[in-house]
Amino acid sequence: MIPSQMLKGTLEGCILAIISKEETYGYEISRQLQEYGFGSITEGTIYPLLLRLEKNELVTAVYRQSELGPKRKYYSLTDKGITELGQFADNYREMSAAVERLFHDVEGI
Amino acid sequence: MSRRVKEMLKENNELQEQLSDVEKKVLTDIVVYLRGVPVSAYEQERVRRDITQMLIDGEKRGNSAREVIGEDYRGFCDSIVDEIPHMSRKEKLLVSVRDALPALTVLLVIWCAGKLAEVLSGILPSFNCPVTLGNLLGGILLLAGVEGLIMLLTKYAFESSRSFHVKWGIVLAAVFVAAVCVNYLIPYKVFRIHLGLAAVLTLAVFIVYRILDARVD
Repeated sequence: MIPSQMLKGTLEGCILAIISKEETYGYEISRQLQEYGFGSITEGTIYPLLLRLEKNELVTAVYRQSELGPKRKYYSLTDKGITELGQFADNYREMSAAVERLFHDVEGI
Repeated sequence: MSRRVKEMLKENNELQEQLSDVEKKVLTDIVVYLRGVPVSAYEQERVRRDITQMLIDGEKRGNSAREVIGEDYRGFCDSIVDEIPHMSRKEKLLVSVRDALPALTVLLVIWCAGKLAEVLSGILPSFNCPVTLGNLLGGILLLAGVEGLIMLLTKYAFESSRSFHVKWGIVLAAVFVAAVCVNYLIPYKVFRIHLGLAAVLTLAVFIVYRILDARVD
């Protein structure tokens, strides 16, 4: 399981990435994160982040009746959100490569 | 409260009925907690709708509120509050005044009714009624007690220990008893007011409340 402290800085970007695939809702985001190996992340963790993304105009939200069930709040990326996601991906790759280079030089990792 | 908030409140009350009693209790605690934070009623209802939908959706999948929200309801609420717009100082002041006016109206109605009964039964010789220091201090204590009660109920919405409720219940009961005692034990007359004028003032306070209520939020 990924420690929550480590997740903190990346979860927002990962949520943006999931929303970028297609318009989606809270529970589906939590389910997909679990599928990608992030562990169990409740909607209670995701909802405040979605509010922040909405406040920062990175996503827009709209209530709509789902095909099979209840009304749901669907999120989609704004142009600002797409740019932010690109920046997040660049930053993450840069950091990931740096950590990998470091690990490469440290024996036993 | 404004029309858009009234409509949303009605919708949310109806929506909440789709939940089981257990989940309804969780939602009620969350809503009570949110009522105590400095965000507008509109933002509160907007968030309430989202959480209600979340819980309804979860219940349909067979998930409890704990599975949907997580173990820490208070932490969940606090992280939401961090992300929604807070009221300005002016808005906060208007909301505080608006919230105090109904209690003040009730106190004034009780005072007027009491004095009218005293006039009709011959205890007071005329409609020019004395306002005592006890009346004023008792009223202030009662208003402070009501404000304190609301603050406690909202701030500690997730507190379930019996001793906590008993302790604060005793403190609040003491405040209310003190308010009633002060009202009767300090007969020093501050000024006199005609009962008709007092009734008009009471009505004016109520009208101000209605005007504020329609504009705030």
